[in-house]
Amino acid sequence: MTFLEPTVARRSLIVTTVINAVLVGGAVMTVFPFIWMLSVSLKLPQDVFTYPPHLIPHPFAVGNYAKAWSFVPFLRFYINSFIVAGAVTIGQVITCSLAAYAFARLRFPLREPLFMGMLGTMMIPGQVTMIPTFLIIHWLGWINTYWALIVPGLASAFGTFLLRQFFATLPKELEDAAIIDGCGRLGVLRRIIFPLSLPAIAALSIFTFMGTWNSFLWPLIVENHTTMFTVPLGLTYFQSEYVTEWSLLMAAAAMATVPVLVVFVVFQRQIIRGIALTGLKS
Amino acid sequence: MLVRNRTTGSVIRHAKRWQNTWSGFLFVLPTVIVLLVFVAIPMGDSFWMSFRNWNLFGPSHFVGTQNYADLIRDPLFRQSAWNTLYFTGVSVPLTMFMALVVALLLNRPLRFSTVYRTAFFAPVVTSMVAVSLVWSLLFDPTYGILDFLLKAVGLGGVGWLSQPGWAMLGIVLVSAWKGLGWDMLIFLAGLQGIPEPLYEAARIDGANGWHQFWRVTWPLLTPTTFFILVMSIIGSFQVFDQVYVMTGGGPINSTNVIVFYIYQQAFQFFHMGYASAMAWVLFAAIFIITLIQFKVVGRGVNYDVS
Amino acid sequence: MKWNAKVKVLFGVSGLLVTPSLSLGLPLARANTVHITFWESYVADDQVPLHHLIAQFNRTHPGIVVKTQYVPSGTGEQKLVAAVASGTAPDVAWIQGDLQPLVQGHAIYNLSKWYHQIPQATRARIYPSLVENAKWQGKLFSVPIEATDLGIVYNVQLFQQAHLALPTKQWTWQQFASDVKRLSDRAKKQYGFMVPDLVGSLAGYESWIFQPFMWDAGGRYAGPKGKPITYNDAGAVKALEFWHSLVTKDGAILSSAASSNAFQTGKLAMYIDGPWDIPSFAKLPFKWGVAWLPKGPKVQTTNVGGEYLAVFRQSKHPMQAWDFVKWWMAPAQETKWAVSSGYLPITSGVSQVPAWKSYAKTNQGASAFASELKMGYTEPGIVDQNQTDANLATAIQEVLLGKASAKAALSQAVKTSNQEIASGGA
Repeated sequence: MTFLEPTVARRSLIVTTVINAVLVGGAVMTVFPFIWMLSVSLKLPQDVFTYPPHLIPHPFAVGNYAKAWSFVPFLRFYINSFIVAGAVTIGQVITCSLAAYAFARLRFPLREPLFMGMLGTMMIPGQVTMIPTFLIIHWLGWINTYWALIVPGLASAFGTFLLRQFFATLPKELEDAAIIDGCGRLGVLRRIIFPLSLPAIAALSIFTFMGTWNSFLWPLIVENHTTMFTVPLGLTYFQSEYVTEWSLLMAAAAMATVPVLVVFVVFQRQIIRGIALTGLKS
Repeated sequence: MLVRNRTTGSVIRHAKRWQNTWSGFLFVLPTVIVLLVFVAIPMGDSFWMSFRNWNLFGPSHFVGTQNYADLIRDPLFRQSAWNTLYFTGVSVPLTMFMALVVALLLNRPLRFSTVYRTAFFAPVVTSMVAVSLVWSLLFDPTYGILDFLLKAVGLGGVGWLSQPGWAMLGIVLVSAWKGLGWDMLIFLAGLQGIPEPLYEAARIDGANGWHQFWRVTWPLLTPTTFFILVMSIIGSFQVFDQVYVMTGGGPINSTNVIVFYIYQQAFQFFHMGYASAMAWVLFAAIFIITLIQFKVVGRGVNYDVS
Repeated sequence: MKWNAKVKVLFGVSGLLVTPSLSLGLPLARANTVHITFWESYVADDQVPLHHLIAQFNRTHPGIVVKTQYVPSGTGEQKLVAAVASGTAPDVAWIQGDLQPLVQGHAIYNLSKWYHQIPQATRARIYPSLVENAKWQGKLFSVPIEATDLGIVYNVQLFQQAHLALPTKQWTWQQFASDVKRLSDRAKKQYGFMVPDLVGSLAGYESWIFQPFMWDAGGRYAGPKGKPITYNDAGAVKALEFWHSLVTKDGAILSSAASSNAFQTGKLAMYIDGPWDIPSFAKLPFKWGVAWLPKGPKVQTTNVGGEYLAVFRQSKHPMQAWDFVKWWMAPAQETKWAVSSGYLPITSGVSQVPAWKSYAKTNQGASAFASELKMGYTEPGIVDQNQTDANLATAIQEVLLGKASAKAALSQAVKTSNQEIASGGA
């Protein structure tokens, strides 16, 4: 940097400043509702609604978190959610990679119809398929088990399509070389495609984990015991048709969000670290 | 497409093709089985139900194409279809554009990029129900902070969710806010896949940032953009949670979108057959639009990096 | 073949035909103990008293173990549907909303005969509207376990600042409207009243609030058999015009989903609410009170509701399930439940019981709501009510937003509703 000419340095400083300003502005606007959620979660019930509105709680009602935690067996819900979201994420990365590789690289009969059919499964709203799906789960004897939450999530049209798009952009020469060296298709996928697609795999992992973690209606329908509930169901304890216990609800929502944010922060490093690897390929 | 090495003989090529076929089937098998059992069969069931009347608790009765015929005459169905198109037409381009801008800005060494990324992604990870509740607080026409801030800078209040003309824009705003992080993340992953040497080559040719974007970034990002476009449209056609929590389809059905209407018919009015018929009309619409995208837009997608 | 087998699995399992072998059997070891599953939707604050109550039942009833399962409200319908379709319905459950599909699908028992096991002295004191609401086409398919009704919650401080007398029990629409006007000061962001304007999943609530105003003006929702729909009669039109004039002439604002908590800001003088919100007012920094709904041109009424329990036909132990419900309805448990949960008791007698009296003394507003229960009016169960309520709520919204006249909007809603009923739904 020090070797740059002064004008160039100044210009890049201005650009960086503008970019940062835009990003800070956007980030503040994006985070604001989230901040408001935290603010409400730290207010006493009678302080939630004031006019004009106050952002900073006074006093800080930290006790809301303890109270929300004590009303609902959140620890158990966290364990359930981690097991389910973890299993689905690992499973989906495997099934989606396999299918995506086949759709991106392999020639086999019915490839196009299968792909469109797979996308087609995303086009029907869950409201009309929920009951038949429930009955299949019941028929399998999976009501009140983790299976009901994990197995239907083990495939994803979204994830397969996402990975297919990324796999398709990778240079074929690397694979060809490996195949000539006697590497099977599975080996190619594992040793070449997978490492080169870490940004996409990380994105898929984040999405899957988050989607499963936040899933609400399905766990509610297939689990009949509180011991099998997941975290989002915990939020419902603070809201009925007419009554919303705002500060407790927001405290619970904040608690439900934190683990997913942690997963995001961990995995998003992968997305950026991918730059070094993908840089190698050409 | 298959094996580029021209030196291999036809026997080997033949064997490869078989290997390809078998690997292909085996690789898609887990996905196909799971989707077949837990999605496709239930879908078939809902198709069957769309020719019947079922009040959810008793037995169902065959009614032929009655449900579909009723649909054509249902003004609320037409209105909800229009509302859905309107929502999709505004929210998809808006969200994608903003997400691309943010992703481009974040795809460079920046001091606090992790902080920014986390900030833009935070809405995605929060439960839609909880944040919709927060937004309805912020949007409240009388006591909401948004109204308070607008008044403070001398602007009149906006009936974000309470005026028929504005409510859908309120829903769009929340959806864009929530969806931006998703799209941004996929764009970022796509941008990371573009090899740095291509930019270097462009720079050597004297291309400035703007030219680099159009010559390198945009063409090589098309697989990602295409994916986001297809998925966003599929998702927008099925927007539900925001409407359910924030407006209940009102005011005066101005935010009553198709899936919300399907939900109402199925679980509030107990007309599962009618709801299923609507779901299949929706399916057909999304399927056709997706096919068109593959035929028209898909052709312009550039998968070849080298 | 495969397809047929699947269809059979999916739809042959209608509620009545389920063989015992299909349902997940309970452990046979404790053969003498009967397990009763109870699905409820009480919010967190009510869970503790609920568990005390259930524990007491289990202690005093050897051989029966009641187990509660929380089911979030608003989604209970979907869960019940799935459970009934698969033959895994609970023994007892809250009925959220509509009895009609459950009755028509033969999912729940007619309790009319069993109800007579409750002592005559107790039955006579249960508010008639509550029992009427628990019926479908004259037959009792559920029973109330707690009561609620609607009143006007008001901010005493704002009344005093405006030098207005506090509402009395006999106040009229005119007095109410003039108070709203005197209490509204848009410049100060202070409003006399908030007119309910709710649709979607809250359309039923909107309709529930509108009904007493309609009745007060002599209107009726529907004919004596729950149809045809008549909420475009002179009374209903008058009631809706009254609501509209509160907004256009008297400075009232419209509610929204979030502004149900607007009262807590201290800038809203009056709004319509039920006893369920009393606990959240406990620590408000201003004085408040509860008044009855004002008297209309014809009469003065309120709408009575509550939570209702039904016994499911898939239950293997319906008698024990009924024993539990019956026990809850007995005066001793009713009082205990009312004072620990904040709901109103279902019998008029309870209000004389010392435990309730001392509760009412420390819980402001409770006695106003409780005494108003006797003003409750009700109509026979409405056919396809969720749909007719949705049409009504949208019509009300059209009028409140100035898009249509009360007469036109209500007539259109009635026409649509009656067409829908005639075609047997969609």
